Amino acid sequence: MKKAIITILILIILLAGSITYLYTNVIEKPKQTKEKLFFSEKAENWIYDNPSTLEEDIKIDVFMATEGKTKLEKSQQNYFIDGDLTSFFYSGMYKGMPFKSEYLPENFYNLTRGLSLTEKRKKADELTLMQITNEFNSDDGIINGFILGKKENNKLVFYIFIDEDWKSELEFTNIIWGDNFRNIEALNERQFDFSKSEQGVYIDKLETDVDWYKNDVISGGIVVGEINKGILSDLIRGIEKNVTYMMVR
Amino acid sequence: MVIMKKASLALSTLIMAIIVLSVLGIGTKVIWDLTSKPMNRLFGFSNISAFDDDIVERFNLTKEINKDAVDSVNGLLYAINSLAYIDTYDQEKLKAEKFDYMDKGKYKEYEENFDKVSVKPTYYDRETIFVPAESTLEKGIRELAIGTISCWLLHGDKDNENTRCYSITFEEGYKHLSELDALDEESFMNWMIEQKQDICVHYSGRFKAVPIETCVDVIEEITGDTWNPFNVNNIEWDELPKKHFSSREGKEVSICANNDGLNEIFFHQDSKGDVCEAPTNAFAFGYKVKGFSLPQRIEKSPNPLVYAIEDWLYAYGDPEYVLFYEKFPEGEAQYWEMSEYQIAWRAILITEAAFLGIDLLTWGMGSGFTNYLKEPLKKLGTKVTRFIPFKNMMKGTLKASSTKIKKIVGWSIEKIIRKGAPRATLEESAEKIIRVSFKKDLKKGVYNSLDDDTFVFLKKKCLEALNSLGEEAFDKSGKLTKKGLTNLDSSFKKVLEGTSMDSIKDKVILNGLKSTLGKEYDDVIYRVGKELGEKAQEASFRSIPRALIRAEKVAHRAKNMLRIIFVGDMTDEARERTLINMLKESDKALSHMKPIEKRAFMANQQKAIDLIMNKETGELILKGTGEEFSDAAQRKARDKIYKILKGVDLEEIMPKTYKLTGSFFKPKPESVLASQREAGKIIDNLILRKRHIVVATVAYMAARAESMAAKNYPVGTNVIGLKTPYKHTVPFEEFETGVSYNDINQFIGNKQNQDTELKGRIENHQKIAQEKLEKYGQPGYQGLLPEVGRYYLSLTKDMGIFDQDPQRFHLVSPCETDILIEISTCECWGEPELEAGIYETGGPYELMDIDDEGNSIPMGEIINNPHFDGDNKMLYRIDNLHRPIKECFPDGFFGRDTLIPNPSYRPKCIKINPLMDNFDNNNYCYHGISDSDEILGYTATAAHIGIAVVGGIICNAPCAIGFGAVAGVLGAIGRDYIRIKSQWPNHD
Repeated sequence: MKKAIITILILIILLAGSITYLYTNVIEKPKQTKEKLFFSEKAENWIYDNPSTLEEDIKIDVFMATEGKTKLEKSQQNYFIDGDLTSFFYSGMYKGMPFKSEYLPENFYNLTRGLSLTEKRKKADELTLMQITNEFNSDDGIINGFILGKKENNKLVFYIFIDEDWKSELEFTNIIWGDNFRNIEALNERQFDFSKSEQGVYIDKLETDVDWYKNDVISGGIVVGEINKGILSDLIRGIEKNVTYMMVR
Repeated sequence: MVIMKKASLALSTLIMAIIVLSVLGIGTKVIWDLTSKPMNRLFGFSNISAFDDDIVERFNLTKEINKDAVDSVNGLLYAINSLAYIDTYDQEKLKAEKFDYMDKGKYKEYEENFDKVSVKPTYYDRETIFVPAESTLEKGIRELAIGTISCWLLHGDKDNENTRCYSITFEEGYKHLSELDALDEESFMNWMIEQKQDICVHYSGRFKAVPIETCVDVIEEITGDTWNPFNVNNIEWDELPKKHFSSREGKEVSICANNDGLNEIFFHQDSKGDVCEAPTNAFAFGYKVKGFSLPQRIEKSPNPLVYAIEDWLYAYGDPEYVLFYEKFPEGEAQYWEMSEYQIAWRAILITEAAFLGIDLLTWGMGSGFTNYLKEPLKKLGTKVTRFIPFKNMMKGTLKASSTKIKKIVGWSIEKIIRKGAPRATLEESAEKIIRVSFKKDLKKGVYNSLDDDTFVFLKKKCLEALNSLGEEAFDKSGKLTKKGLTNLDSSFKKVLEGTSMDSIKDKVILNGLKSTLGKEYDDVIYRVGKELGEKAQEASFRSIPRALIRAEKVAHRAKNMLRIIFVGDMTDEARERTLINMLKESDKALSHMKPIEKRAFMANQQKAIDLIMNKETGELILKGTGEEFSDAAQRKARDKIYKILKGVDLEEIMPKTYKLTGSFFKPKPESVLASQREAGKIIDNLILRKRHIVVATVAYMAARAESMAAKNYPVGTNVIGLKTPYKHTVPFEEFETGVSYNDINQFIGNKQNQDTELKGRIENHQKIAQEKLEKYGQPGYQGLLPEVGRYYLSLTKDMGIFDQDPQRFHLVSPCETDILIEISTCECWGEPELEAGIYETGGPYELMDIDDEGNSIPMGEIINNPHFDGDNKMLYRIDNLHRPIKECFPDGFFGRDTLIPNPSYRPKCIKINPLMDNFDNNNYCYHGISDSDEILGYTATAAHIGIAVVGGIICNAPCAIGFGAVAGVLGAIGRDYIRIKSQWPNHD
């Protein structure tokens, strides 16, 4: 009798335990915090061979980096953060000549007069000298760079990507950033860190003092390239400088 | 017998007369069919009342022509409204629920069709992969597999929330679409199972965070290829129709994940984007308008049924359909305004140097116009002191708490009216004083005659009065005292009364213009003069229904032209040359127009022509001589006109027009002449006939000029305008569309029955629209929902391919395209500039108005537009009818004095993107990128702003809006080297 009671008790305990386990681990489908497999947090994982071309292009996967919350237009990143749309606009300078997202040589329009738009675009691909884009060939002679805003740990950070051509063509690469370009003294400045790279793309990250985008009127941003406070001051005064950089605001 | 004979003779005569008249009548009908009754009327040969019959016919003709365009614009407006509505209220929900997502799958309800035009939702919250045309079959299938695996993984990363994952597009020319058609769910899964190692080597090579083993596990799980017999496959292929890949839509396949029941990966067409019922937000959601069309009947090759390009431009001046948001962007018309046409205008109206000597304030219209302007100014002076006592106004304003004033306008009057204050500050004071001191009769929707150039004039006088105040007007701290206030009042009156017309001919205006315009001065003067002359009169138009305003404008232009010809300060030889040139030009222009359209065109000018051909015209011409309206004066005028016309051989100079009407230049019955006498009491058959031709010519020329200028008048805040040759620019709602836009429900369709919130909001909109109409005389709903007012509507130009700057939304025929509409952000430059009339939403320059009790009220209340409260900060200007028009200036618009971009605004905008995959000839839509962009840049527009800003003198920016014609002139003439033929209708 005693044996039977003990056996029954053990069975009941086992059953209860099984039910508890089943409920908590199977039926409930517990949402444990686990490392995300697709939406990787590591910037190196966002860079891979571009499947959309047969060229040796790489792609910086913005969809992956921002968990699908970014829509890229040609000269801007639209980022949907916390129920609101925030945009970052790109522009650049190639040897003193300003451009938006792509620098084409001055004779481009002469060379392509009379061509259809598709033909013009093909010609542009051959002639372009510098681009701000997330899809490029890292050593084809075209200077490429890209800046991506991303939310991490409840704050916004900026990842900066530049390619081999950038590194070899530019004399130096600094980063200047802050709330107002015309308040030079308050700006931050440092050198670009080339220690991290993936498939010919160098990656750096800005994590502090990047609230310039929150203002109603944007007066600051991030400049990456042949820039320092002195050069910036000259540019603001309208003095032409033979420098190359990209900017996000 | 005699009686019978006489009766018989009378009868036969009568019969003969009937026969003759019938023959004549038939002849008339055949010939006049080409030119229609309006032309009959012009030439003085028909019955006025018979035109009423034409109205129906005219309407039907116009409606038929416009149908495709109307359906297209209906579709576009629907998409814009829906998107704005969804974004506005979904954003509210998002914020209230702490950034959670919205209802799933509801956007299906928002699909609509407008005959051939369809409007469907499209989604952006997925990744797009292109499979290049040269790719192998294996590569194509592998991308489908990679997409499947990624979707499964990211679905897990999102805690199994329904998710849109990928859109895989096979590039045009991919050769294996039919082989992909052979796939189905089972064969695809089997292929994945067989190739899992190979697939995963590729997968993990691309997605480094996913080891090969994990990838293999995923394939096994998705396909059910595991040890667990209960594990079913998780791929759904059923949503793809048979032979999907080879079909028209087939080059694109979408992948999404759904967790209802089992977790499943769906393959589906793009048009079924809601298959997985994934939550979304208006940022990731947009519309595609398919089949949008603004047709244009032109061909490059000869075709009797359609126009040649030059013929069209010559006849009409502008493309057939010009669609735009609030106002047509400056400078865009230069791509079709033919320089030949510009030269023709000069040939007509500026014939010799003596002509240029005309009093410039009177803008080339002779002394009659001086008289015309004097009266309104005198009345204004009286009004200041009689209706709105200046003193009381000042007292009242000062009395209002300084906090209120500060809050409303950014500064207090006490602070700024200060002896020794910088000129700029005193000018601001003068401006404000004038603005607030003129009461506008808002109830009737009629403004007083305080138009822009008069405002500038008064501001100057007020400043003079302020500067003339002595020391005793101010206290020790420099503030205006009570005594000072009284002194200011009387000083101002004195200054006004002492103003002679000579001083109005302010040299500064002239000098400013001359130095800015250089060689283009004469041509610009004429155009500017016409515009400004109209503005002086426009104030009186504001109570007139809109249809009449257009007619009035045409009539006004025509009258001005008549004044120039008959009364302008030039030699008789010049006068004759001018007249002949005009007649020739008109003949040439009219000959380019197809007969049936000539009819429609002229029919729509009917009212204008009626207005020209009235007693007032005759009186005005006579008044222009400066004499009283008397018999002697009439005879004098008649003699003058007769002298000019006597030498004019119509048959020689107007062969085409004359041919149409030649047989009718015969003496007419008295009954016809009698009706013509009413038009001016000039009783001479020859003169009547010729004068009518002149009026007809003038009417046509004026109508065409007005038609072209009309697109430059803003149509209103948050309104889409459409201009065709058949009607002047109107807000789109005025077109008879079969859908009544005055009924706001029509836009939302039958969704109101399903959505009680939507129904409630619509009812509220209707209530507000009705209140606006009653209280302010402003029309209510005009095609765009109030929610759209939160956004700026911009056109994405060739940005997908080149860095062409976006621009204020506009589209121009010919335009056949699909259009993507999405929410985004625009980057806008510039800063508030009071002198130029540029303000910032919610800024310290908030424009104020005055209600009946003399209280200041912010314009926002009147407009009921959240954009102007400061939400979504951006710049705006006030147009000539005191409506705010949003502005998004590109970088460099105001000149670039720094190589670092200036501070910029980031308003939310709705981007309208025509998907012109291949820009064929004859598909214009907008000016595509070309080398002239580099040269012209914004010079034309900068010059336009330059005109407005030089001393801020000519008129404030609201007037400058009408300077689109000026910019067009500068663009076309000042840069003759760019083109002789127009770029239009070629996109680039």
